[in-house]
Amino acid sequence: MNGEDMSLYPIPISSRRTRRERGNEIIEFALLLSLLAPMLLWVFINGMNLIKIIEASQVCRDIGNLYIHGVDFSTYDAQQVATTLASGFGLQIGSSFSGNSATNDANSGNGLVIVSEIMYAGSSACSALPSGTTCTNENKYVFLQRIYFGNSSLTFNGNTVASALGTPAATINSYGYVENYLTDPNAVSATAGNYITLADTQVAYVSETFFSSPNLGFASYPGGGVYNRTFF
Amino acid sequence: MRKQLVRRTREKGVATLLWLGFLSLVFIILPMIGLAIDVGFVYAIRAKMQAAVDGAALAAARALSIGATLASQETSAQNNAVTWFNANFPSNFYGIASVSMSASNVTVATDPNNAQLMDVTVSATAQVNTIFMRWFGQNTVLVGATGKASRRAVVAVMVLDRSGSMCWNGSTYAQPCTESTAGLPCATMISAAKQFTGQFAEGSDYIGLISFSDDIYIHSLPTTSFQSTLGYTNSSGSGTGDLDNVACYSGTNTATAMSMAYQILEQTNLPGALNVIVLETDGLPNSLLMNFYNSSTNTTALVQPTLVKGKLTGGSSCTDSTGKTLAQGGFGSSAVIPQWMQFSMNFANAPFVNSSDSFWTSSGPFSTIPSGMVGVVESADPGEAGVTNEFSVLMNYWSKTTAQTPQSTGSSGDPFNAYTAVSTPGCAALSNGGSPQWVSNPTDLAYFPPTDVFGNQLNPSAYTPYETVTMNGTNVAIPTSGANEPWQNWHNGVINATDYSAYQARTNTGIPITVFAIGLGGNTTTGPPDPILLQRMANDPNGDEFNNPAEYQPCADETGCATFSSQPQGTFVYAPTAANLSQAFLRISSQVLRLSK
Repeated sequence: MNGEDMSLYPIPISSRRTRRERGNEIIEFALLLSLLAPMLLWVFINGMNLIKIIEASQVCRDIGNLYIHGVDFSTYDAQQVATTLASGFGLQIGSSFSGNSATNDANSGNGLVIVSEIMYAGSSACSALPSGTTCTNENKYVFLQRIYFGNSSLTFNGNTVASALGTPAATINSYGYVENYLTDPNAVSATAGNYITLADTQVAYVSETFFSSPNLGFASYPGGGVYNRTFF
Repeated sequence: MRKQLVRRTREKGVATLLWLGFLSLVFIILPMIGLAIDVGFVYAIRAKMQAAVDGAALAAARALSIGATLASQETSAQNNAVTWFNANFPSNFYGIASVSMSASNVTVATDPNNAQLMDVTVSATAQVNTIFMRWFGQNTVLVGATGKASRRAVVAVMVLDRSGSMCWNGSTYAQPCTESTAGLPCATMISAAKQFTGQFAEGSDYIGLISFSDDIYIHSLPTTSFQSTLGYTNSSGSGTGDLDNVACYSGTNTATAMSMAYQILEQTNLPGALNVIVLETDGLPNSLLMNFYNSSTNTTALVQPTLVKGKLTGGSSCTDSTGKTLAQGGFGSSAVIPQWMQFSMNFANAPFVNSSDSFWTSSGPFSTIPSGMVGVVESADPGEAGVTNEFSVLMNYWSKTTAQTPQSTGSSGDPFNAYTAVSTPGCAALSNGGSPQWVSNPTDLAYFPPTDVFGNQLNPSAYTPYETVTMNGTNVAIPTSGANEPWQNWHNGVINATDYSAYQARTNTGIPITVFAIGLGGNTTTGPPDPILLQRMANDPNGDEFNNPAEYQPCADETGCATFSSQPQGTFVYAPTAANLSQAFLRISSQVLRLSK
């Protein structure tokens, strides 16, 4: 103002308002950010989880499809195929092994795969037993095969994951085949009937995948990880 | 003051921008985010639905085996598809508004490019509730998915062992035995085989049946009405048929039965189908159908006479059709070759062929089997009591002249009592009527031919043989020195020829044939089934998947085991006792049905 007396120039009302409004942009920005940031984060996490859900669903489907076509997931080679399908999900199967193993599930990583073959054991199925042998599991769903690989210590929301079909305590050989499935009560699946209804001797092949997403996990969505189950 | 004025000037329109920003947030960014979230959910649901219809289609294809008619099989497929879809895609999945999937969404049709292929198509749609898009009037989105699966028709020939050891359960031995002899493996095998046929689709799959002991019997060529022809058991019910008539008795001529099964599949000629042989046996093969006359060289396998002082002396005492021995100038042409087997090689009248099968009346696959010096050679099983290290050359079991059913016990209870003895006139050490003549050395023979009548090589050249066989030039030697000889060399040759019979089937380029094998243990201690041989025949590289502890190891870990990755891989299941036999058959049927999809 070149040394002129400022009082000679009354400050316009708009200028006074401007002075009072100093910092408004920051506040507005902060308010907007407080709204936008969680929303964007929520969108990002949901978007990522949706992608994971879609991918996990496809992985579960593909593993089941291989399983029903006879791929032997008790072998390391077949499990490697599954890890390739599930790349990005952190499915780990440990070091290479020869032969067969129905339970390669003591690994780290963020994934667990369970494949099962179940059957409804009606009177026709029980007729396979020699005469005089009691068909203990008649009219029940029984496991014919069960194979695990990945990390069975995986937790969703603090709970260790488990097959929706239950865990057979019967003797299972290295190929995953359940022994004495008609006579051993430990071969029964108490929950299979909740999901599917099979006729006598009818068989269903089931693939279940569990993938946790610890880096993006929302406690309430979707249960701390992604679980898929496909019946073939 | 000027700065303030400048700032004020610069800030002109900021409010408008902010307002525009707010409006864009409300009307553009938030809807876009909402749209992205809704679309994301829709894609997630669609992925789930795709998995559901894929699973439903495969289950529907599998269900084509259920039902006695094509219409009922289609209904089974539709019902299965709905059941599997509902299991994979619950109606409350992720807030689905409604799902449209019923039997009408499942179509079953013959593949336009392959008559042996049935295509199942499953489609489904669902209305998905939106979260954000409903603000703009879009409450639901329609999601759809289609899955397709195919099932090849199965052409299977069951090759069932009805040897005498099937009549032994460890405490009882009642030979011959039948379905009505409860508690013996023969009856269990019949029951298990009927369960096997019950797993396949009457009307679209084809199943035939051969049973074998020393002789073989073709009960039925592959037929689509196999459940009514052979009998069956499944969840729909049961029926009786040829399987119920099988009677067990005598030896184990596995190679001949395998070769007949192979040639039957070749003649059936359905390359678009899944062609399989399902072999069940409880023992070691010990018999082959041999031809001792080589028409191309006009030579016989008989011991030749020697020239002594200008005169032929010695040699086999067998005579030709004019009554002359080799030393007497016999066997000089094909015209005088004796008919050791009594039946004509017109298979329309052959005793081991079901005469109702018109398949055999013309130039069938077995018209190439020569008549003449032909017969079954049976060896004793290892350590078999009473006939240890012996064999019977020219068994009479193939010589039945009247049309009968050798698998039937007949009125007297002896399936072979109506047989006419084979005639090997003049021979010293060959069976010649009456009971088989067991010898430790078939002194009439100089060697065994290198193949049986089906071309199964006793010492295969295409790969390393399972057993070692001593050769005499291009023929199989009959060594008289060495442990257990000459029995051991013949025994090894039979094992190799049986292995080769499966190799021949698997390497057929026109109709690839997959061999499945079931070994039944516990029936005999002198000749139980050899897991390695059956692994080789099934071309199964895996170890024992059926028993714990495993009865045998993966092929790569077994001495003498070999598989071929370029050939169809089947499955071998070892049932330690008859109690496991039905489950073994079901395991095989499951594997076959898996391959058919």
